[in-house]
Amino acid sequence: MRYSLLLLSSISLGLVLFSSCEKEQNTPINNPTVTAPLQYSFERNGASTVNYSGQSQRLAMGNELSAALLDFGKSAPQLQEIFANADANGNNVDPYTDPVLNASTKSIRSKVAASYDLFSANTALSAQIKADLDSFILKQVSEVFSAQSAAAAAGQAGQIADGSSVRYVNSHGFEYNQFLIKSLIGALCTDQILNNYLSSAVLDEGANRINNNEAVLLEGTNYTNMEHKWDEAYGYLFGMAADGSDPLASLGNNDQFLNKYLARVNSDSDFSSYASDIFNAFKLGRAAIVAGEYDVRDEQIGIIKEKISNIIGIRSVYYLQSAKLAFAANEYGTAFHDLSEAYGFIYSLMFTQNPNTGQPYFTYNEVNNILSDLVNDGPNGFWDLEASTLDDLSNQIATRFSFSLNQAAN
Amino acid sequence: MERVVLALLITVTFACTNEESDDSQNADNFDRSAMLVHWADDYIMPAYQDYQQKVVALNSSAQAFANAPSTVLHSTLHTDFVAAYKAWQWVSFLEIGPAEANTLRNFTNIYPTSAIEINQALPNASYNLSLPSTFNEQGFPALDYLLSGLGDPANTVSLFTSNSDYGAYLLALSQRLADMATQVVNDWQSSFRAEFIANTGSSATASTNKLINDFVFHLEKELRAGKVGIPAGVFSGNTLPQNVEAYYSDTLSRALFLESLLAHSAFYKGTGFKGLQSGSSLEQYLDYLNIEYQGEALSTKINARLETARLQATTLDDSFARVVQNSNSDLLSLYDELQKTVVLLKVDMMQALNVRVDYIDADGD
Repeated sequence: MRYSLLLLSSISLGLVLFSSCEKEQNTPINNPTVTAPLQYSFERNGASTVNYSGQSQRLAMGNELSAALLDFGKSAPQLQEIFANADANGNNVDPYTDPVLNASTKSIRSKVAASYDLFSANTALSAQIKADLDSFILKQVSEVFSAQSAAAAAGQAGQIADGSSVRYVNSHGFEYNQFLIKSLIGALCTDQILNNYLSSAVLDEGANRINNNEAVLLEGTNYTNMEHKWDEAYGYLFGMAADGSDPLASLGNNDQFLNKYLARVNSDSDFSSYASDIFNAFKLGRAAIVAGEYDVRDEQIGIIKEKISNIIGIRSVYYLQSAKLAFAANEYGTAFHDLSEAYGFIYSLMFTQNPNTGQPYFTYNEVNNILSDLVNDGPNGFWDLEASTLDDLSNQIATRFSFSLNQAAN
Repeated sequence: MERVVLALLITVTFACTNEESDDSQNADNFDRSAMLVHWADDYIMPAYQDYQQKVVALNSSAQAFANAPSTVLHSTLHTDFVAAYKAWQWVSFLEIGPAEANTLRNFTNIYPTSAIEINQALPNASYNLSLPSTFNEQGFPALDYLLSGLGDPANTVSLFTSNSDYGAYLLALSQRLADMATQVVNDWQSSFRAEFIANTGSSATASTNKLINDFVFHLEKELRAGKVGIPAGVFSGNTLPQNVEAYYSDTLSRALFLESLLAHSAFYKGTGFKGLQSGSSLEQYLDYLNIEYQGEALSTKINARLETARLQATTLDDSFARVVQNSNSDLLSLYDELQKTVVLLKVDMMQALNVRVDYIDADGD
């Protein structure tokens, strides 16, 4: 039986690959006028035209935030300052360990739910999302930090073992640090890349195309506005790479955000071309901008939007299914950690974009319905979760995407 | 792209071949129940009883030392510590039933221990050793630090003499080890043995399936990774000599590795606890099913690998930390040998026995 299944799946995968080979020949991806360079490296007059330092800084701030959320000596206002790079009154603060970040005027919070496509005319929703994320920080301190030396139990916040690691949860098994960091993968990285910098409203804004065609550079820089917008999208995925022109060499070891989970998805044999597909699309799209070939650019945008959205969907399902296994083995700490990551990835689904419709794969309300189901099987949240709920929610998510539950689960 | 398709076609071919070769194997009517009885009576219970005896002796000599610290009593204490630590290697992988319920291994042998956290805990006298955050402040690694990490025996004696916090902490650790061991032995005797041998069958929660998973998991994560791979730097950019087992005793890490390897072999071959009584085993199970690997019996192949690893380890310095520093490639070769063993067990053996792997690699965050 096992071998027959393997046989069937191998054949069907083979068919998929054959058909995708054929399809490729009919599409203009092989447009001879634009070729992707080997590295993400572009020059004009002998100097680089690539710049995404603002994105690198925000990711570095995110890494500091991630560590601080488990520093029990930090107060809620201190954590909030790391999130916003400002105090409650908007005054400048120096909350980071890295002086470069203290000197920066950028912040994570100002770019949360801040894309042109989704939020330029929906600031009410943007404010709601920021408030959701703020609440994770407040509750991490008030509910989790305060119970540092208690043993967690149903209805009791405290610590719980996950293998030989320790997890710190609230009375419902929630790790708010995971809620926040995983939500930022959507609310910051994915939203900025898909719904802002790769949006035609941003790339082609005003005279961008004319200026790009005529190589009119932004004042004081070596790049056109369109080139720069594209690089900024790139920076939210690869901005912390050891070598930004060759980011796959250090994939997964750079930040706690989208980069890390591209590596995780890519290590699943069902999705093992994701990293190279996305990197190639970024390179080819950038080269297309230099060549003024906007159809080629837009095809790459479609690839990037679909694959990055899939990463969010795949990891949502993966963690729900991992939690199911952990519950079956009575490993509650492991299950809660998986579920806390799942919570953030599911929250991130509202920032995806289906390239065929231009809309997120899930709306804010749909996401909140799923999250509500995830925490309401009983009075004690994750402690009461049933396997059937995890399967229901996994299926709800997987059916919207092109991957299957089983492909995501392993 | 073509290459990928080719690889898939090859996979399909292999899958067909495998399906055919299934016919030459015996149907699985192996008596799992007899194997469970052998495991329980000839390995698990005698090994736990031996371990309990050794940690109770350790606790006694810790009391004697804490009451009147001296280099003579320190030496006795360290001898008992080594004996108990070796006995632990025989039961470490048995994370099923009472040991699983109490996550015995987490509370017994998480290393490296945290000298910083131990020193913070010492003066408090209010340490709660049941919290997961104290895994790295207790068990054998913490005892190793208290006995050998504070200086030479004379220095250690004078520290224990001048500050009673050390003795109090030492006793809290040794008492806890003794209590946990007693609990596990009592649970096996009073109820879990019956439950264990009655849980025959081949579901994911059957005793055979669970213990095979525990055994292979331990060989992969503890023997291969914890004792060898992690200090050798396999999972990090740089070597980590301070992460060897029993780091402070210095010359104990190889002995503990060999003891653990011996325990794995005995369990696999069915020779019982320290050769006590042989019985039905995984090796016999594979032979019963007539499982071959590259023209040879898989069971023979696994035996050969385990023996090669043992021979390789015996040529190493008795301090793995020194091996890391002086000739890390030797430790890496040992790792590679163990990795090949893991593949034979985790892929070939578990597939042949139709036991599904119930653990996945941790996320790392």
